[in-house]
Amino acid sequence: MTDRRDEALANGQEPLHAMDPEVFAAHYCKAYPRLHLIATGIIGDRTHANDIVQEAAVIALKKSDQFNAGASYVAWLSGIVRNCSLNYVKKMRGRRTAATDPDLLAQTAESSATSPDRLPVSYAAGEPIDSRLDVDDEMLHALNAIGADARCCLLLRVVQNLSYAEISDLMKIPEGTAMSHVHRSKRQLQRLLEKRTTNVEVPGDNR
Amino acid sequence: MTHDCNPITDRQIDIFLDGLLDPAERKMFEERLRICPEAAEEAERLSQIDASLRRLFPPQQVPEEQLRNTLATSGLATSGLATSGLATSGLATSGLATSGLATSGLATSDGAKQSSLRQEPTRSSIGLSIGRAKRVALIGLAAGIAWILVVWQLARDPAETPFFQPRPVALVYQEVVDGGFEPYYECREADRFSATFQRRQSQALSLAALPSGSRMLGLSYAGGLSRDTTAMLCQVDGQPVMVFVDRLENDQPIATQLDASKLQVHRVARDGLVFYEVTPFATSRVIEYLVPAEVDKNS
Repeated sequence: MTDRRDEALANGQEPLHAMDPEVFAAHYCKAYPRLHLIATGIIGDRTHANDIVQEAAVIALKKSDQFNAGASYVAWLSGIVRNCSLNYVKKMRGRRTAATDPDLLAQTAESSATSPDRLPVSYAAGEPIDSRLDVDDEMLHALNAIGADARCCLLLRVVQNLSYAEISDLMKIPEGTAMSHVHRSKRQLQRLLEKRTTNVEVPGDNR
Repeated sequence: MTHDCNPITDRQIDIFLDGLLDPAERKMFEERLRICPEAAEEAERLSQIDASLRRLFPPQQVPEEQLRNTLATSGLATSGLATSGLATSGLATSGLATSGLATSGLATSDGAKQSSLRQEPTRSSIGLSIGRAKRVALIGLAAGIAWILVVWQLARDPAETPFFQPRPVALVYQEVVDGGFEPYYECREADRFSATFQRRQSQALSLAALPSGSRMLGLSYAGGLSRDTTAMLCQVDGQPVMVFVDRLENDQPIATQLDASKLQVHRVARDGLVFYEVTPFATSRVIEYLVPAEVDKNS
Protein backbone atom coordinates (compact mmCIF):
# COMPACT_ATOMS: atom_id res chain seq x y z
CA MET A 1 0.00 0.00 0.00
CA THR A 2 2.87 2.29 0.84
CA ASP A 3 4.39 1.61 -2.56
CA ARG A 4 1.16 2.60 -4.25
CA ARG A 5 1.04 5.76 -2.20
CA ASP A 6 4.64 6.68 -2.92
CA GLU A 7 4.22 5.90 -6.57
CA ALA A 8 1.07 8.00 -6.81
CA LEU A 9 2.74 10.90 -5.10
CA ALA A 10 5.99 10.61 -7.01
CA ASN A 11 4.18 10.57 -10.32
CA GLY A 12 1.85 13.33 -9.28
CA GLN A 13 -1.02 10.98 -9.95
CA GLU A 14 -4.28 11.21 -8.15
CA PRO A 15 -5.40 8.27 -6.07
CA LEU A 16 -7.15 5.55 -7.95
CA HIS A 17 -9.05 4.68 -4.82
CA ALA A 18 -9.59 7.85 -2.91
CA MET A 19 -11.07 5.87 -0.04
CA ASP A 20 -7.71 4.22 0.57
CA PRO A 21 -6.78 5.84 3.91
CA GLU A 22 -3.05 5.73 3.26
CA VAL A 23 -3.29 7.34 -0.13
CA PHE A 24 -5.65 9.89 1.29
CA ALA A 25 -3.36 10.60 4.26
CA ALA A 26 -0.38 11.17 1.98
CA HIS A 27 -2.25 13.65 -0.19
CA TYR A 28 -3.88 15.27 2.80
CA CYS A 29 -0.61 15.79 4.69
CA LYS A 30 1.03 17.22 1.60
CA ALA A 31 -1.86 19.58 0.90
CA TYR A 32 -2.57 20.50 4.51
CA PRO A 33 -0.50 23.73 4.73
CA ARG A 34 -2.28 25.26 1.76
CA LEU A 35 -5.70 23.93 2.81
CA HIS A 36 -5.11 25.51 6.21
CA LEU A 37 -4.23 28.82 4.57
CA ILE A 38 -7.34 28.73 2.40
CA ALA A 39 -9.51 28.19 5.47
CA THR A 40 -7.64 30.92 7.34
CA GLY A 41 -7.98 33.26 4.39
CA ILE A 42 -11.72 32.78 4.07
CA ILE A 43 -12.68 32.85 7.73
CA GLY A 44 -10.04 35.42 8.67
CA ASP A 45 -9.14 33.45 11.77
CA ARG A 46 -6.34 30.95 12.30
CA THR A 47 -7.75 29.32 15.38
CA HIS A 48 -10.67 27.59 13.71
CA ALA A 49 -8.91 26.73 10.46
CA ASN A 50 -7.76 23.34 11.80
CA ASP A 51 -11.30 22.28 12.60
CA ILE A 52 -12.56 23.41 9.23
CA VAL A 53 -9.88 21.53 7.32
CA GLN A 54 -10.60 18.43 9.35
CA GLU A 55 -14.31 18.76 8.65
CA ALA A 56 -13.50 19.08 4.96
CA ALA A 57 -11.28 15.99 5.09
CA VAL A 58 -14.05 13.92 6.63
CA ILE A 59 -16.47 15.14 3.96
CA ALA A 60 -13.91 14.39 1.25
CA LEU A 61 -13.57 10.84 2.50
CA LYS A 62 -17.29 10.34 2.63
CA LYS A 63 -17.81 11.78 -0.81
CA SER A 64 -14.75 10.33 -2.45
CA ASP A 65 -16.96 8.49 -4.90
CA GLN A 66 -17.83 11.91 -6.33
CA PHE A 67 -14.21 12.69 -7.13
CA ASN A 68 -13.49 12.57 -10.87
CA ALA A 69 -10.38 10.49 -11.51
CA GLY A 70 -7.90 12.55 -13.49
CA ALA A 71 -8.82 15.81 -11.80
CA SER A 72 -6.61 17.39 -9.16
CA TYR A 73 -7.39 15.79 -5.84
CA VAL A 74 -5.90 18.71 -3.89
CA ALA A 75 -7.98 21.18 -5.90
CA TRP A 76 -11.05 19.06 -5.15
CA LEU A 77 -10.16 19.02 -1.47
CA SER A 78 -9.58 22.77 -1.46
CA GLY A 79 -13.03 23.26 -2.99
CA ILE A 80 -14.50 21.40 -0.03
CA VAL A 81 -12.40 23.47 2.37
CA ARG A 82 -13.68 26.64 0.70
CA ASN A 83 -17.28 25.51 1.07
CA CYS A 84 -16.81 24.49 4.70
CA SER A 85 -15.14 27.83 5.41
CA LEU A 86 -17.93 29.79 3.76
CA ASN A 87 -20.50 27.80 5.75
CA TYR A 88 -18.60 28.61 8.91
CA VAL A 89 -18.55 32.32 8.08
CA LYS A 90 -22.29 32.23 7.37
CA LYS A 91 -22.93 30.41 10.63
CA MET A 92 -20.85 32.85 12.64
CA ARG A 93 -22.67 35.81 11.08
CA GLY A 94 -25.92 34.40 12.43
CA ARG A 95 -24.47 33.69 15.84
CA ARG A 96 -26.19 35.56 18.60
CA THR A 97 -23.47 35.35 21.19
CA ALA A 98 -20.72 37.92 21.15
CA ALA A 99 -17.29 37.35 22.62
CA THR A 100 -17.07 41.02 23.52
CA ASP A 101 -19.82 43.17 24.90
CA PRO A 102 -21.41 44.56 21.73
CA ASP A 103 -22.43 47.69 23.62
CA LEU A 104 -18.80 48.40 24.32
CA LEU A 105 -17.55 47.78 20.80
CA ALA A 106 -18.87 51.04 19.43
CA GLN A 107 -17.34 53.01 22.28
CA THR A 108 -14.03 51.20 21.88
CA ALA A 109 -13.98 51.81 18.15
CA GLU A 110 -14.56 55.49 18.69
CA SER A 111 -11.93 55.84 21.38
CA SER A 112 -9.31 53.80 19.54
CA ALA A 113 -9.61 56.05 16.51
CA THR A 114 -8.25 58.92 18.53
CA SER A 115 -6.16 57.12 21.10
CA PRO A 116 -2.48 57.19 20.12
CA ASP A 117 -1.64 54.56 22.73
CA ARG A 118 -3.53 51.90 20.84
CA LEU A 119 -1.70 52.38 17.55
CA PRO A 120 1.91 51.43 17.97
CA VAL A 121 3.45 51.46 14.52
CA SER A 122 4.74 54.26 12.42
CA TYR A 123 4.54 52.15 9.34
CA ALA A 124 5.30 54.97 6.94
CA ALA A 125 8.76 55.02 8.43
CA GLY A 126 8.84 51.25 8.72
CA GLU A 127 9.74 51.50 12.38
CA PRO A 128 7.81 50.58 15.45
CA ILE A 129 7.15 53.68 17.51
CA ASP A 130 6.41 51.69 20.59
CA SER A 131 8.22 48.57 21.62
CA ARG A 132 5.17 47.09 23.35
CA LEU A 133 3.57 45.92 20.16
CA ASP A 134 4.81 45.17 16.69
CA VAL A 135 3.74 45.41 13.11
CA ASP A 136 2.28 41.90 13.11
CA ASP A 137 -0.59 42.95 15.37
CA GLU A 138 -1.43 45.76 13.01
CA MET A 139 -1.14 43.39 10.08
CA LEU A 140 -3.75 41.05 11.55
CA HIS A 141 -6.17 43.94 11.89
CA ALA A 142 -5.46 45.14 8.38
CA LEU A 143 -5.90 41.64 6.93
CA ASN A 144 -9.47 41.60 8.16
CA ALA A 145 -10.22 44.58 5.94
CA ILE A 146 -9.41 42.86 2.65
CA GLY A 147 -11.65 40.41 0.82
CA ALA A 148 -11.59 36.70 1.53
CA ASP A 149 -10.45 35.65 -1.96
CA ALA A 150 -7.75 38.30 -1.99
CA ARG A 151 -6.58 37.19 1.44
CA CYS A 152 -6.40 33.57 0.32
CA CYS A 153 -4.43 34.43 -2.82
CA LEU A 154 -2.06 36.65 -0.86
CA LEU A 155 -1.38 33.99 1.77
CA LEU A 156 -0.96 31.21 -0.76
CA ARG A 157 1.47 33.33 -2.76
CA VAL A 158 3.50 34.89 0.03
CA VAL A 159 3.43 32.20 2.69
CA GLN A 160 3.25 29.06 0.57
CA ASN A 161 5.12 30.55 -2.38
CA LEU A 162 2.69 28.92 -4.81
CA SER A 163 2.76 29.84 -8.48
CA TYR A 164 -0.21 31.71 -9.87
CA ALA A 165 -1.12 28.60 -11.87
CA GLU A 166 -1.35 26.62 -8.63
CA ILE A 167 -3.37 29.34 -6.91
CA SER A 168 -5.67 29.48 -9.91
CA ASP A 169 -6.19 25.73 -9.67
CA LEU A 170 -6.93 25.79 -5.95
CA MET A 171 -9.12 28.87 -5.94
CA LYS A 172 -10.85 28.22 -9.26
CA ILE A 173 -10.07 31.69 -10.53
CA PRO A 174 -7.99 32.84 -13.53
CA GLU A 175 -4.27 33.31 -12.95
CA GLY A 176 -4.48 37.01 -13.80
CA THR A 177 -7.17 37.48 -11.18
CA ALA A 178 -5.04 35.70 -8.60
CA MET A 179 -2.11 37.98 -9.42
CA SER A 180 -4.30 41.09 -9.21
CA HIS A 181 -5.61 39.92 -5.86
CA VAL A 182 -2.07 39.52 -4.53
CA HIS A 183 -0.73 42.84 -5.79
CA ARG A 184 -3.82 44.85 -4.92
CA SER A 185 -4.22 43.36 -1.48
CA LYS A 186 -0.60 44.10 -0.67
CA ARG A 187 -1.09 47.72 -1.69
CA GLN A 188 -4.31 47.82 0.28
CA LEU A 189 -2.52 46.50 3.34
CA GLN A 190 0.14 49.12 2.90
CA ARG A 191 -2.48 51.89 2.71
CA LEU A 192 -4.35 50.54 5.73
CA LEU A 193 -1.21 50.37 7.79
CA GLU A 194 -0.21 53.89 6.75
CA LYS A 195 -3.71 55.17 7.50
CA ARG A 196 -3.56 53.79 10.99
CA THR A 197 -0.19 55.48 11.38
CA THR A 198 -1.65 58.78 10.24
CA ASN A 199 -4.21 58.46 12.99
CA VAL A 200 -1.43 57.89 15.50
CA GLU A 201 0.55 60.94 14.61
CA VAL A 202 -1.93 63.37 16.07
CA PRO A 203 -1.04 67.05 16.41
CA GLY A 204 0.74 67.72 19.65
CA ASP A 205 2.16 64.24 19.88
CA ASN A 206 5.86 64.74 20.53
CA ARG A 207 6.99 61.17 20.45
CA MET B 1 2.47 55.98 -8.10
CA THR B 2 5.42 56.67 -10.35
CA HIS B 3 8.77 57.81 -9.05
CA ASP B 4 10.69 60.79 -10.35
CA CYS B 5 13.92 58.96 -10.70
CA ASN B 6 13.94 56.58 -13.62
CA PRO B 7 10.73 56.26 -13.26
CA ILE B 8 9.79 53.06 -11.48
CA THR B 9 6.10 52.20 -11.35
CA ASP B 10 4.18 50.44 -8.61
CA ARG B 11 3.50 47.62 -11.03
CA GLN B 12 7.23 47.12 -11.64
CA ILE B 13 7.87 47.03 -7.91
CA ASP B 14 5.06 44.51 -7.43
CA ILE B 15 6.43 42.26 -10.15
CA PHE B 16 9.95 42.54 -8.78
CA LEU B 17 8.84 41.70 -5.23
CA ASP B 18 6.66 38.89 -6.52
CA GLY B 19 9.72 37.17 -7.92
CA LEU B 20 8.37 37.28 -11.46
CA LEU B 21 11.53 38.70 -13.03
CA ASP B 22 14.18 36.44 -14.47
CA PRO B 23 17.67 36.73 -12.93
CA ALA B 24 18.98 39.21 -15.50
CA GLU B 25 15.91 41.46 -15.21
CA ARG B 26 16.09 41.21 -11.46
CA LYS B 27 19.68 42.36 -11.40
CA MET B 28 18.85 45.30 -13.65
CA PHE B 29 15.93 46.26 -11.48
CA GLU B 30 18.06 46.11 -8.34
CA GLU B 31 20.47 48.51 -10.04
CA ARG B 32 17.59 50.87 -10.73
CA LEU B 33 16.44 50.67 -7.13
CA ARG B 34 19.94 51.56 -6.00
CA ILE B 35 19.72 54.93 -7.71
CA CYS B 36 16.11 55.58 -6.69
CA PRO B 37 15.90 55.63 -2.90
CA GLU B 38 12.18 56.49 -2.91
CA ALA B 39 11.29 53.37 -4.87
CA ALA B 40 13.74 51.33 -2.82
CA GLU B 41 12.05 52.47 0.38
CA GLU B 42 8.67 51.55 -0.96
CA ALA B 43 9.93 48.14 -2.04
CA GLU B 44 11.35 47.70 1.44
CA ARG B 45 8.02 48.60 3.07
CA LEU B 46 6.15 46.17 0.84
CA SER B 47 8.66 43.43 1.52
CA GLN B 48 8.03 43.98 5.23
CA ILE B 49 4.42 43.04 4.57
CA ASP B 50 5.59 39.74 3.13
CA ALA B 51 7.90 39.18 6.08
CA SER B 52 5.12 39.94 8.52
CA LEU B 53 2.74 37.54 6.77
CA ARG B 54 5.34 34.77 6.89
CA ARG B 55 5.86 35.35 10.60
CA LEU B 56 2.13 35.38 11.26
CA PHE B 57 1.31 32.29 9.24
CA PRO B 58 4.07 29.72 9.64
CA PRO B 59 3.46 26.54 7.61
CA GLN B 60 1.06 24.22 9.41
CA GLN B 61 1.37 20.47 9.64
CA VAL B 62 -1.53 18.13 10.20
CA PRO B 63 -1.84 17.59 13.94
CA GLU B 64 -1.23 13.89 14.52
CA GLU B 65 -4.40 13.44 16.52
CA GLN B 66 -6.45 15.17 13.88
CA LEU B 67 -5.10 12.85 11.22
CA ARG B 68 -5.84 9.85 13.44
CA ASN B 69 -9.40 11.03 14.01
CA THR B 70 -9.92 11.75 10.34
CA LEU B 71 -8.63 8.33 9.38
CA ALA B 72 -10.74 6.71 12.06
CA THR B 73 -13.72 8.28 10.36
CA SER B 74 -12.23 7.05 7.12
CA GLY B 75 -12.13 3.53 8.51
CA LEU B 76 -15.82 3.75 9.22
CA ALA B 77 -16.46 5.23 5.84
CA THR B 78 -14.40 2.54 4.15
CA SER B 79 -16.23 -0.27 5.81
CA GLY B 80 -19.43 1.49 5.05
CA LEU B 81 -18.62 2.41 1.46
CA ALA B 82 -21.51 0.45 0.07
CA THR B 83 -23.65 1.76 2.88
CA SER B 84 -22.51 5.27 2.07
CA GLY B 85 -23.56 4.78 -1.51
CA LEU B 86 -26.83 3.40 -0.32
CA ALA B 87 -27.19 6.26 2.06
CA THR B 88 -26.72 8.68 -0.81
CA SER B 89 -29.30 6.95 -2.87
CA GLY B 90 -31.38 6.77 0.27
CA LEU B 91 -31.15 10.53 0.52
CA ALA B 92 -32.18 10.79 -3.08
CA THR B 93 -35.07 8.54 -2.34
CA SER B 94 -35.83 10.66 0.68
CA GLY B 95 -35.76 13.71 -1.57
CA LEU B 96 -38.20 12.00 -3.88
CA ALA B 97 -40.31 11.03 -0.93
CA THR B 98 -40.30 14.62 0.22
CA SER B 99 -41.33 15.88 -3.16
CA GLY B 100 -43.88 13.11 -3.17
CA LEU B 101 -45.27 14.46 0.07
CA ALA B 102 -45.29 17.92 -1.40
CA THR B 103 -47.13 16.59 -4.40
CA SER B 104 -49.50 14.88 -2.06
CA GLY B 105 -50.05 18.15 -0.26
CA LEU B 106 -50.75 19.85 -3.56
CA ALA B 107 -53.06 17.07 -4.54
CA THR B 108 -55.02 17.71 -1.37
CA SER B 109 -55.24 21.42 -1.94
CA ASP B 110 -56.12 20.91 -5.56
CA GLY B 111 -58.37 18.06 -4.64
CA ALA B 112 -61.55 20.00 -5.28
CA LYS B 113 -60.57 20.49 -8.89
CA GLN B 114 -58.99 17.15 -9.56
CA SER B 115 -60.65 14.74 -7.17
CA SER B 116 -61.66 12.49 -10.01
CA LEU B 117 -58.06 12.07 -11.03
CA ARG B 118 -56.66 11.39 -7.60
CA GLN B 119 -57.13 9.01 -4.76
CA GLU B 120 -58.56 10.22 -1.52
CA PRO B 121 -55.84 11.91 0.50
CA THR B 122 -54.38 9.69 3.15
CA ARG B 123 -54.73 10.43 6.84
CA SER B 124 -51.12 11.60 7.02
CA SER B 125 -51.47 13.89 4.03
CA ILE B 126 -54.59 15.44 5.56
CA GLY B 127 -52.64 16.02 8.76
CA LEU B 128 -49.84 17.51 6.70
CA SER B 129 -52.08 19.94 4.87
CA ILE B 130 -53.83 20.98 8.10
CA GLY B 131 -50.43 21.52 9.66
CA ARG B 132 -49.39 23.52 6.66
CA ALA B 133 -52.53 25.61 6.79
CA LYS B 134 -51.79 26.34 10.45
CA ARG B 135 -48.27 27.34 9.60
CA VAL B 136 -49.44 29.60 6.80
CA ALA B 137 -51.99 31.18 9.15
CA LEU B 138 -49.34 31.71 11.81
CA ILE B 139 -46.90 33.21 9.32
CA GLY B 140 -49.67 35.51 8.08
CA LEU B 141 -50.49 36.54 11.63
CA ALA B 142 -46.82 37.17 12.44
CA ALA B 143 -46.43 39.22 9.26
CA GLY B 144 -49.52 41.25 10.18
CA ILE B 145 -48.18 41.95 13.67
CA ALA B 146 -44.78 42.86 12.25
CA TRP B 147 -46.45 45.27 9.82
CA ILE B 148 -48.45 46.93 12.61
CA LEU B 149 -45.28 47.29 14.68
CA VAL B 150 -43.37 48.82 11.78
CA VAL B 151 -46.17 51.31 11.08
CA TRP B 152 -46.38 52.10 14.78
CA GLN B 153 -42.64 52.65 15.01
CA LEU B 154 -42.63 54.93 11.97
CA ALA B 155 -45.52 56.95 13.33
CA ARG B 156 -43.78 57.56 16.66
CA ASP B 157 -42.19 60.85 17.58
CA PRO B 158 -38.45 60.19 17.18
CA ALA B 159 -37.69 62.26 20.26
CA GLU B 160 -39.95 60.13 22.42
CA THR B 161 -38.32 57.98 25.09
CA PRO B 162 -38.11 54.39 23.83
CA PHE B 163 -41.01 52.36 25.09
CA PHE B 164 -40.26 49.63 27.53
CA GLN B 165 -42.69 47.17 29.00
CA PRO B 166 -41.57 45.49 32.22
CA ARG B 167 -42.17 41.76 32.09
CA PRO B 168 -42.07 38.84 34.49
CA VAL B 169 -38.50 37.63 34.75
CA ALA B 170 -39.72 34.03 34.50
CA LEU B 171 -41.14 34.85 31.08
CA VAL B 172 -37.85 36.33 29.94
CA TYR B 173 -36.08 33.25 31.33
CA GLN B 174 -38.38 30.97 29.34
CA GLU B 175 -37.73 32.88 26.14
CA VAL B 176 -33.98 32.70 26.66
CA VAL B 177 -34.15 28.98 27.40
CA ASP B 178 -36.33 28.40 24.32
CA GLY B 179 -33.83 30.38 22.27
CA GLY B 180 -31.02 28.01 23.19
CA PHE B 181 -29.90 29.65 26.44
CA GLU B 182 -27.10 31.52 24.74
CA PRO B 183 -25.72 34.64 26.42
CA TYR B 184 -25.52 37.87 24.51
CA TYR B 185 -22.03 38.51 25.83
CA GLU B 186 -19.57 35.81 26.85
CA CYS B 187 -17.92 37.87 29.55
CA ARG B 188 -14.77 36.03 30.58
CA GLU B 189 -12.71 38.78 32.18
CA ALA B 190 -13.47 39.68 35.76
CA ASP B 191 -12.70 43.36 35.18
CA ARG B 192 -15.07 43.62 32.26
CA PHE B 193 -17.72 41.72 34.15
CA SER B 194 -17.54 44.28 36.94
CA ALA B 195 -17.42 47.18 34.51
CA THR B 196 -20.57 45.96 32.76
CA PHE B 197 -22.60 46.19 35.96
CA GLN B 198 -20.97 49.49 36.79
CA ARG B 199 -22.03 50.87 33.44
CA ARG B 200 -25.55 49.48 33.46
CA GLN B 201 -26.47 49.50 37.14
CA SER B 202 -24.00 52.09 38.47
CA GLN B 203 -22.67 49.43 40.82
CA ALA B 204 -19.77 47.16 39.98
CA LEU B 205 -20.31 43.53 40.79
CA SER B 206 -17.97 40.62 40.73
CA LEU B 207 -18.72 36.95 40.71
CA ALA B 208 -17.10 34.94 43.46
CA ALA B 209 -15.93 31.42 42.68
CA LEU B 210 -19.00 29.32 42.07
CA PRO B 211 -19.27 25.91 43.71
CA SER B 212 -18.64 22.75 41.75
CA GLY B 213 -21.45 22.05 39.30
CA SER B 214 -22.17 25.71 38.70
CA ARG B 215 -20.73 27.91 35.99
CA MET B 216 -21.42 31.29 34.49
CA LEU B 217 -22.13 31.28 30.74
CA GLY B 218 -22.29 35.00 30.12
CA LEU B 219 -24.51 38.05 30.22
CA SER B 220 -27.64 39.02 28.35
CA TYR B 221 -29.61 42.22 28.10
CA ALA B 222 -33.00 40.67 27.52
CA GLY B 223 -34.99 43.17 29.57
CA GLY B 224 -37.23 42.32 32.49
CA LEU B 225 -37.43 45.22 34.95
CA SER B 226 -36.05 47.94 32.71
CA ARG B 227 -34.07 48.43 29.54
CA ASP B 228 -30.92 48.31 31.66
CA THR B 229 -31.58 45.01 33.39
CA THR B 230 -28.50 42.82 33.17
CA ALA B 231 -29.10 39.09 33.21
CA MET B 232 -26.45 36.53 34.04
CA LEU B 233 -26.86 33.08 32.55
CA CYS B 234 -25.61 30.16 34.59
CA GLN B 235 -25.66 26.42 34.47
CA VAL B 236 -26.30 24.92 37.89
CA ASP B 237 -26.20 21.15 38.13
CA GLY B 238 -27.01 21.00 34.46
CA GLN B 239 -30.03 23.28 34.79
CA PRO B 240 -30.35 26.77 33.30
CA VAL B 241 -30.47 29.51 35.92
CA MET B 242 -30.72 33.24 35.30
CA VAL B 243 -30.03 36.11 37.66
CA PHE B 244 -31.54 39.47 36.73
CA VAL B 245 -29.90 42.53 38.24
CA ASP B 246 -31.16 46.09 38.19
CA ARG B 247 -31.23 49.24 40.26
CA LEU B 248 -33.61 48.98 43.16
CA GLU B 249 -35.64 51.93 41.88
CA ASN B 250 -36.34 49.94 38.71
CA ASP B 251 -37.92 47.09 40.66
CA GLN B 252 -41.39 46.09 39.41
CA PRO B 253 -44.08 43.99 41.09
CA ILE B 254 -44.70 42.25 37.79
CA ALA B 255 -41.18 40.79 37.93
CA THR B 256 -42.18 37.96 40.24
CA GLN B 257 -45.30 37.02 38.35
CA LEU B 258 -45.27 33.32 37.65
CA ASP B 259 -47.46 31.14 35.52
CA ALA B 260 -48.21 27.62 36.54
CA SER B 261 -44.65 26.58 35.88
CA LYS B 262 -42.19 24.68 37.98
CA LEU B 263 -39.89 27.66 38.10
CA GLN B 264 -38.95 29.53 41.25
CA VAL B 265 -38.21 33.25 41.46
CA HIS B 266 -36.01 34.34 44.37
CA ARG B 267 -35.63 38.02 45.14
CA VAL B 268 -32.87 39.77 47.08
CA ALA B 269 -32.43 43.54 47.52
CA ARG B 270 -29.10 44.91 48.69
CA ASP B 271 -26.59 47.68 48.00
CA GLY B 272 -29.18 49.67 46.03
CA LEU B 273 -29.70 46.74 43.65
CA VAL B 274 -32.39 44.15 43.23
CA PHE B 275 -31.56 40.59 42.21
CA TYR B 276 -34.01 38.05 40.83
CA GLU B 277 -32.91 34.47 40.38
CA VAL B 278 -35.11 32.38 38.10
CA THR B 279 -34.38 28.75 38.67
CA PRO B 280 -35.90 25.30 38.81
CA PHE B 281 -34.37 24.93 42.31
CA ALA B 282 -36.21 25.63 45.55
CA THR B 283 -33.43 27.86 46.86
CA SER B 284 -31.29 30.58 45.38
CA ARG B 285 -27.96 29.13 44.25
CA VAL B 286 -26.20 32.04 42.53
CA ILE B 287 -27.24 35.46 43.87
CA GLU B 288 -25.02 35.19 46.93
CA TYR B 289 -21.96 34.94 44.69
CA LEU B 290 -22.63 38.31 43.06
CA VAL B 291 -20.84 40.72 45.33
CA PRO B 292 -19.93 44.41 45.15
CA ALA B 293 -16.61 45.09 43.47
CA GLU B 294 -14.18 47.85 42.73
CA VAL B 295 -14.21 48.55 39.03
CA ASP B 296 -10.99 48.87 37.07
CA LYS B 297 -11.15 52.21 35.30
CA ASN B 298 -9.20 50.84 32.34
CA SER B 299 -11.72 48.12 31.59
